[in-house]
Amino acid sequence: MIGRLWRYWVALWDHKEPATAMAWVRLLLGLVLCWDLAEAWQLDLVSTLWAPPEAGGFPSNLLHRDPVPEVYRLFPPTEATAAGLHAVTFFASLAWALGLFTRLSGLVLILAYAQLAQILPLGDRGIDLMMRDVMFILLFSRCGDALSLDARRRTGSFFGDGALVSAWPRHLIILQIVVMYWMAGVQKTALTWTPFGGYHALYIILQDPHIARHSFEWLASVWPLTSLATATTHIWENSAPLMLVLMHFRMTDGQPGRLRAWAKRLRLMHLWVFVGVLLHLGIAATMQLGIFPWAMLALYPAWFHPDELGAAWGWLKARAGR
Amino acid sequence: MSSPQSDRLPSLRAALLAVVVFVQGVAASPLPPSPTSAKALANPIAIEELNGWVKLLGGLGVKTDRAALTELAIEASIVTSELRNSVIKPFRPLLRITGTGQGWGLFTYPNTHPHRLVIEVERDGKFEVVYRALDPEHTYLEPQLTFRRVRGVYDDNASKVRPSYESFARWVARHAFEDWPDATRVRVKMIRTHVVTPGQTADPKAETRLVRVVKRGEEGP
Repeated sequence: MIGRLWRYWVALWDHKEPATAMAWVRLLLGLVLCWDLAEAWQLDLVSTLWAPPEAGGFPSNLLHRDPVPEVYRLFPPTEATAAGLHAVTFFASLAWALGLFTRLSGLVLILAYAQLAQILPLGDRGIDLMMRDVMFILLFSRCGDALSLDARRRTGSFFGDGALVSAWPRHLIILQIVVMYWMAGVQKTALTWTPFGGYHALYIILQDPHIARHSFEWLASVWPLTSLATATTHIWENSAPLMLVLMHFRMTDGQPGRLRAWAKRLRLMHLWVFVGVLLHLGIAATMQLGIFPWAMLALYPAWFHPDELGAAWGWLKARAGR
Repeated sequence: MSSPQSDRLPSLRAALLAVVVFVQGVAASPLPPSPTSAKALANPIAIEELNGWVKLLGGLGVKTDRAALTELAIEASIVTSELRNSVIKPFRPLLRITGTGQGWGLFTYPNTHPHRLVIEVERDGKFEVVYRALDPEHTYLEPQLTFRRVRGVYDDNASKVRPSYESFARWVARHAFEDWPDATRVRVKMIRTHVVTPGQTADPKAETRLVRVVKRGEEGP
């Protein structure tokens, strides 16, 4: 039994596939971070967020912490250091997104991005942690073999030559997304996330002036809608592990089984992903969470095998050509 | 012909990934990173939540009260946080330098006592509101204040005040003194209200908290 499980585990991480799906995640995630950092610069917030208080920044006790962030151990605590760190993170993110010296730019990016988090932890949200987790996984991948300047240099095509690479980083990203959604669901233990509290969680969240994008006082008259959205969110998040089962079905397609056939016929995997897209678009429309919904959607190409992405791309091209 | 090394690679990788999944799994689990304190469970949101659980458990025939539940939560958090930290400790330096980790408590407890940031500027001896969160009539510095990284600073300070709140107030004052040369003082404050769910009687109470007044000349660099 243990031997069989071990062989399954080894085989699970030994798949090969073209690098396209991981490349899409890299491209989209890098661009989302560029957008976030460009916005901080455009709003003139670079020093405010990452310079020490002596230079007018928010971070407190920066030079008396244990440990002091590395960047302020190596460079003087000035606005110029904050601006330099911001610039390094931005350009590393841009280079990584475009696939220019992908591994090196990815390594610089994650180290610099982590420094931003260390300097001002309150300005570093859950989505930043998620982005760094995925960037770290992609460091060990061949995500630069497609949709990249590196691929163009090596193969003459920005899309690369379609060579097969290890698929385990994409599988690990899927596991990371599942864990994130599932744990977010499991930890929603407040009664208002449950029928016992009337599923009023989203109604309450949308009354928070620091979270809501608009005033949502009027929701009191249509509260069953927010209760429905709350129930959907809670059930959807808690059902995230189901995606691992559906992924297993897909990887072992062709094997018999009534449950497998039923899941395939109902396209449960696509349905779950579709609900996720709607949920994030809903968040973008109603809440001020910055890049959160867009960064999460940037991870969604990981749900799909590169063959599926290729088929979708072909379908889109055919539609556009009509 | 494949070499023995290449034959061993899949097993080695699978073993390494097993360790990664285990450690990250423990980090991601809902075990608290530090023990819960009685003070943390004495805030209005926690009290409301604990009262809800006392009522729910009572309905199921389990007689308990808030004090007992608080004690149970503290004791459980001590044991579980020790377990979590002992697994993660060896990997902490790597997690720190890469800024990676797990922690996905997103909107775990919807805030039934949210705050509303208000900024006022004193001119001719009278304070006037220049910014009030979600108020389309008072939108001074709105793009900056609603930027997620700035919101994280003042919003998180509303639940637990840190020195960065003072830095934030001074930053607001610096901008205001520059934009209103005749302004003498800037006041930053939070108004805490109580959100009730539909069907409940509205609670009109609005508590002013975390008031910081910065005089011209005190705003710093």
